[in-house]
Amino acid sequence: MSYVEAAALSPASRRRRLLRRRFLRRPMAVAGLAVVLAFVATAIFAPLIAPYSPSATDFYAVLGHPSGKHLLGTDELGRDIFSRIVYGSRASMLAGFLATVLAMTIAVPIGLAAGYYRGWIDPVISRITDVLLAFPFLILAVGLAAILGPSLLNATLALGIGAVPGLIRIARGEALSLREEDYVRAAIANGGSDLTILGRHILPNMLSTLLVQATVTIPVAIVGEAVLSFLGLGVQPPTPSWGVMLEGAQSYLTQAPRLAVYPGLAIVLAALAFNLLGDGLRDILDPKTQR
Amino acid sequence: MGGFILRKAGAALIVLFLASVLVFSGIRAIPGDAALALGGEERDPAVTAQIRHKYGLDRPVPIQYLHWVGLAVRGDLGRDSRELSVSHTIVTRIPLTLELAGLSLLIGTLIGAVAGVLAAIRHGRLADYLSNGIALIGLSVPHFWLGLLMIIEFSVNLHWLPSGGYVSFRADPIGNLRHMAMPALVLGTGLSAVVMRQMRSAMLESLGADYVRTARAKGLSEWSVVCKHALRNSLITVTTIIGLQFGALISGAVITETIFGIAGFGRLTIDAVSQRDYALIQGVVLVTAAGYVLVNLAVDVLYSFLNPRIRISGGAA
Amino acid sequence: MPPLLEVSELSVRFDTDEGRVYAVDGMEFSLGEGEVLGIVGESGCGKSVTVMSMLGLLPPTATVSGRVLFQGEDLLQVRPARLRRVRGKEISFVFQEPMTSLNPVFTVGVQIGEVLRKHLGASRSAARKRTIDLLELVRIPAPSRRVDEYPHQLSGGMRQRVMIAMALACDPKVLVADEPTTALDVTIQAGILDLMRDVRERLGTAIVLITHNLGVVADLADRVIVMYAGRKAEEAPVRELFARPQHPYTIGLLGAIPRPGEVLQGERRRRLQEIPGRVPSLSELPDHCAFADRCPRADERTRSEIPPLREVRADHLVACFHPGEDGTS
Repeated sequence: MSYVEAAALSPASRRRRLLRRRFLRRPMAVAGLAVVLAFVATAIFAPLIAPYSPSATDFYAVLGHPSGKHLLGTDELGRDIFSRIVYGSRASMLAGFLATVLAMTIAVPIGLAAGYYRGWIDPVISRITDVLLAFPFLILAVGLAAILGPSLLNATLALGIGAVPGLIRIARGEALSLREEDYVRAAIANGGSDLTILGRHILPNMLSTLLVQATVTIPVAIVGEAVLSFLGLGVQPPTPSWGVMLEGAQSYLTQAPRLAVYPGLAIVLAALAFNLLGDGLRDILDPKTQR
Repeated sequence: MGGFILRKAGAALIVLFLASVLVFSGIRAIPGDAALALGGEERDPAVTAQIRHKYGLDRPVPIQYLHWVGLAVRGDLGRDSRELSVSHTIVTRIPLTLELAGLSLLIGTLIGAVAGVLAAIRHGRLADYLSNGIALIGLSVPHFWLGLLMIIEFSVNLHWLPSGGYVSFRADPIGNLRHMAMPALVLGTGLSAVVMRQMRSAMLESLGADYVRTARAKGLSEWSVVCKHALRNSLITVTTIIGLQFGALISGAVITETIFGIAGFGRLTIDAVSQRDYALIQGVVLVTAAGYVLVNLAVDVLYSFLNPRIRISGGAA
Repeated sequence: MPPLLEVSELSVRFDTDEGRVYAVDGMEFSLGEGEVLGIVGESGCGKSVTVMSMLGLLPPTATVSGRVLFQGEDLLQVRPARLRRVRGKEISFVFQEPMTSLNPVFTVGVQIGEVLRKHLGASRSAARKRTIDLLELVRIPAPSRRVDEYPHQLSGGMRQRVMIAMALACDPKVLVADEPTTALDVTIQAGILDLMRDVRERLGTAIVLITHNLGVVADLADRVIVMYAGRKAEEAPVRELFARPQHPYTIGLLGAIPRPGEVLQGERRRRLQEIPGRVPSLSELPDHCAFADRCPRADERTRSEIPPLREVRADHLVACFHPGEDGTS
């Protein structure tokens, strides 16, 4: 890009161009994005990708080894493991994205209010956040699942609520420091309404932090869904979910350890991809790391 | 420093109070009659009334709360559905979990801190990428799966370690450690990943600070610069993170104890919830919250000790 | 007699995400025993990078080339262990930010004592005694109490005095002061400058004084180097430079200083001048005179070649094709 060309671009598109260049220079982040997209596509197009129905049993091939017919072998009922992993991605992606969206929707406005208005509202919200953090999220999730009854939706709800206190803290801290920025003070001094200041100055400047947080909350929820399903508090068998598959595999650790290996690998791969993407985004968006 | 600790202790008391209110009202928010819930499968109206009276449910709610808190403060958390003392059950289960948590904390912070410092001083080089990558994998691996893999390898294939159960340290120290090795490793791995990442970023920040430049300009050895000047400052940030890991540690203990069949506090939590034993749930959750508050108070004390700006207030502080 | 410190062909390059950045390009200067050399320029002109690169204090993203001869030894070639014995003992530093340059978790006494113990092998008690003497030397009141205090208990001016005490701990041959007064209040600045003058007179320490403030240089320096965009623009003894500035950039800098006497004189009133244009970003350093875009004297040649340094008067070097005092060229 020549000097003249660069100067002709608007600041916003120059920044976008710069960010894209920085992102593309991080091979692990690019790989993370690719794998994330692959998992999302797998979840959406599961019926097209999976060779068998996830519940189709083949009694001639119970606990079968990987073969040309069954890529990753079969489970105790002769169901195709690969197909079940493909379908299982639906529960994981759904829980990951929905729980994060839910947590963000609750946490961001509360955190913004605490950080921006301060006054009495901030200590109250901070104290409540402290209290919620005192309950380990899993206990919270287990409790909610016990009260509401086990299902994917309730597990997702529990995971979303579990992520709220941490996100409130982050949104609050961010709003608190942005409020001290000169341009925000200037906007306040110029008599801008709270809504304008929050919407036009504070929120847009938090977006990169929130994007990074969302990206790293998703893998927590994905692992959380697997944990809850493993404990019998999430997806109910026979619906395929990686956690459910691992629960079933527990009884066959001696005969067919691979039943415990493949679904776990899927969880790790998905969580790792989101974490890599989140790390990459943090690197390119956070000015503090640009030494 | 006194003022700081007092303020933190005050905040801790408030958190504990709010937590107890939450626990107390949580049980009452469950759909249906609490007396029915507490009575388990019993549906005889006379028995229900008796339970109602016994738990003081026929009295106003604030009085009920005060009564409950009064007993709890004296160590009486009531009786579970099998008429066993909740406090006693909890007290017998806690040592197992404390041992598990203590060992994992040791493993996690040791591995995490060393790897984090190494990654920071080799910033942007192979050792950094490698430890960062391993930490990221560590964050992405669910405890329970790691536990299953270890059982497959070390118990099923190699027959090195028992796949579950527990023996007390006093009865059989070697056996105790053999039983604890895998659970502690599983729980410690996730923690070390978190500690490593925090330590790395804290060290990177310290190493870029002006006072580190001063230390280098003074002609100090790289060892002094890193392990004295930068590390002391990084420890301040990292200690606070370890306090926040308490919740994750308990959540992890729940899973780990389930996988390895250890009858500890975590396992008790799951059992209480799955059996819908509300008195037990109440007690377990209250103790967890108290543990969180205590651990964080201890962290604050440590923090103020490490940070002279708080230990000695004065001047422009 | 050879100079104490002789820097030649010093270049520093940073490799960043956005590409290579040249911070210093072919810098050279020398420093005699007990001499005070001022290096002036706008922020980002490479003056700090120049001195930091001499002792290997730049981050690993920097690539340094050239020669830095200290008492005949090239500091860019020596092993790290040797370099650490020079740092803080032979050549020591005072930095711009007294608020952040001291480690917040150690007492003043520990931080000064560290230098004494490292370089002179002093015992704990001897180091403490000498530290108190040093604090007294830099005129800190109640030194035996201050020695046990933490940086946050001291004011900015006090902290800078502590930095100076630390720098003087081992009687260095050279003291590098990088904007030592910039972060301080004006009233405090004068005290620190007094102290520096005192150090030079009483201890005979040679000083490299980096600043963007020509007033400070006029006050303290024997000789001045003006830097622009990573290169040396002009060098002359301090009186010569102020009396007969040759480079249009130097003239611009001098014009930007308010002179109280003149403002009051009615008809000869002079507006405070600013230099038009902006400093070129160091990633796009041109292969011609870097000042050309802002220079009233620029011509075809200025825009196509890098002007070499020439001696236009005795001891007076200028990198300009059209040197001269205002109005004489």
